Amino acid sequence: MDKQDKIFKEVARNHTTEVDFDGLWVTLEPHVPKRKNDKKLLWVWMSISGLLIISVLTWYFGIYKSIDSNQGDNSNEMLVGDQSPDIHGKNIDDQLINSTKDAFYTSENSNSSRNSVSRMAQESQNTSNPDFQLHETSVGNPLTKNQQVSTDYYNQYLPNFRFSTIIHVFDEELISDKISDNLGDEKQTNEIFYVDENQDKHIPLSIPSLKSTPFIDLHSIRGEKEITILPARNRWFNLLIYSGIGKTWIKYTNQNDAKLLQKMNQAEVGKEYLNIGLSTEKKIAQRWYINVGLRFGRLVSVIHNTSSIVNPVISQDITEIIIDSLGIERLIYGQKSGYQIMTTTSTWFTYHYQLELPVTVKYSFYSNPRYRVAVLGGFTLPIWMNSTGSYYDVEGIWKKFSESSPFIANKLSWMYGMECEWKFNQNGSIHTSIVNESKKYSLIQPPSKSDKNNSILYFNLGYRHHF
Amino acid sequence: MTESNIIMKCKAYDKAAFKELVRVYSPGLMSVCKRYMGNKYDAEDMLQETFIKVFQNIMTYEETGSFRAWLNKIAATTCLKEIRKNYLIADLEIDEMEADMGADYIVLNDETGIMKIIEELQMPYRLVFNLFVIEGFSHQEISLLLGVGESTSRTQLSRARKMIKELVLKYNVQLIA
Repeated sequence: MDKQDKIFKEVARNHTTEVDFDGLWVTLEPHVPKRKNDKKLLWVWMSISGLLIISVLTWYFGIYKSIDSNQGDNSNEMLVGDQSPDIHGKNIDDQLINSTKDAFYTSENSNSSRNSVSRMAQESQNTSNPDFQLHETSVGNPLTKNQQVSTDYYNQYLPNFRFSTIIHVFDEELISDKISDNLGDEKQTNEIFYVDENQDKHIPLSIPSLKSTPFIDLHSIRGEKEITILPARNRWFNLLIYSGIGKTWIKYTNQNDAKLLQKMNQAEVGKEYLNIGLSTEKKIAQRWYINVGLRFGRLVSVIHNTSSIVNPVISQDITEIIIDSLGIERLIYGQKSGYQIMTTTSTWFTYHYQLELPVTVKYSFYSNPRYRVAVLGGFTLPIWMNSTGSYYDVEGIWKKFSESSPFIANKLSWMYGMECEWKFNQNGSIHTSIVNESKKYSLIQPPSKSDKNNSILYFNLGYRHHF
Repeated sequence: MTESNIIMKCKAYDKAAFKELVRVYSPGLMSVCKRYMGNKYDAEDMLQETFIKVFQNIMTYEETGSFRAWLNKIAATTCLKEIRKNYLIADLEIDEMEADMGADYIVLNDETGIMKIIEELQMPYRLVFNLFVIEGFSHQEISLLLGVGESTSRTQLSRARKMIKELVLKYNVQLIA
């Protein structure tokens, strides 16, 4: 770099040019970045918080307002226990169970609520004030108005939440035993308690000393004896009968001859899928269920088979035309031979009838006393299968055929989907599901390496009955 | 407000800091833009583009090098992009071999004159002169930036130097080291 360059470099680098700053800033001001993310986060946070608050309030008032209104009908009803807010959370089952367990095993851990209960009960014994007498509750508890329960009983058996809630879930025999053990024979005169008709649907706790374990049926808290639509852990006696229809897509794979494979894929078209089945379901964990049953299905496919027939043809016809010198035309007849190509397309209907054993696992991601929404996944074991079919022949005549299982579902089918269940009365619920299932059939007659893959999307409607 | 304060506050989305950034650095950047574009109007457009890019990228600026150099680089690349968009590469390919002018030149000193000379250089020569002499790029880098051959870059630089000498005489500019 010569001297001239150095001078130019130095001057140019340090040179400044006057700028209309105000005009420039007016142009640039809108481009100044802002804290967009903060506002977005604020809105997201506010939305989530709002939804959470609304959900909690709705649930709280939805459950406890009904109890309050039911109890409010009895003017002389005794209030025992407070409405502990800590049982309003989503783990209400566990909390109630734990509270119940505490009531049975840790009577020395009495808290203020239970002390309050016992104090009130003590007062009810010492006074004749009818306001402190236990009586029938709104949930049909057959404790009569004049039956008084001892303080010891409250201290030992009542957990720290609503009396009317806990009473009806106690097992009669259990309470009798406990009272006999703790209070003596003379206290047995008070042992008229509500017998929970649904106790066999409750979850048993693994405590050997309890013949039947107290379990809070959440939906009984509402004041009406609703039974959860979901099957209990120890019960198989719910029956789901369902039926549905769907659409199938067929694709052949694993064929060595790619041309033949392509032809098969072009020729066969999946049609409808019908199924009917029954199953029973069991709860295996807090949100998990297993469903096992039998299903009969019919799957239809159509094959458009295009074939060409080449026939030799021999006929008598004009073979030559001769025009003589006088201009007279002469026709020479002779024998003509050739080939005639006939292309025909025949339509085949194939019906796959199959008996299967579907096993699905469901995860309930949303549920309330009347609804359950779950995702499901599982497999289907093939038990029996048969294929029949029919087709139009070349003359257009409908012909039937029956084959002894040219295909067999010798591989597991996999499925996944989603289901909703709606309880509409005491024992019944409507069940809908949409499932995508992948079936695979292997051709065994004649043996080949072809697999016929059926992807089925079907919709089922069913009814579940709780026995 | 110091340079580091301006940067720090700009990263904190302080609008006043952005305004201060424009106020402090716009004269220098305008000079850069004018050197490349050759006229005031195009330079103003490029200055706006440069500051918009600075606003968008200041969060990624790491205070390891000179902030002014970083701004100049953005201005230069913005102008270069515009020039490449408006001028065909073929226009930059001028196969004209010229001998180097040597070191004989008149010793004058006039800052305004020097800038005027640069701006008056014809486009391919002005571009190569700016990139090679002012920004310090090598001919290899210039050939990559402009998509021309290295020999073309050298030729155009020689031509630019020759034109500068003529313009220095024309405007009677004093060059004092």
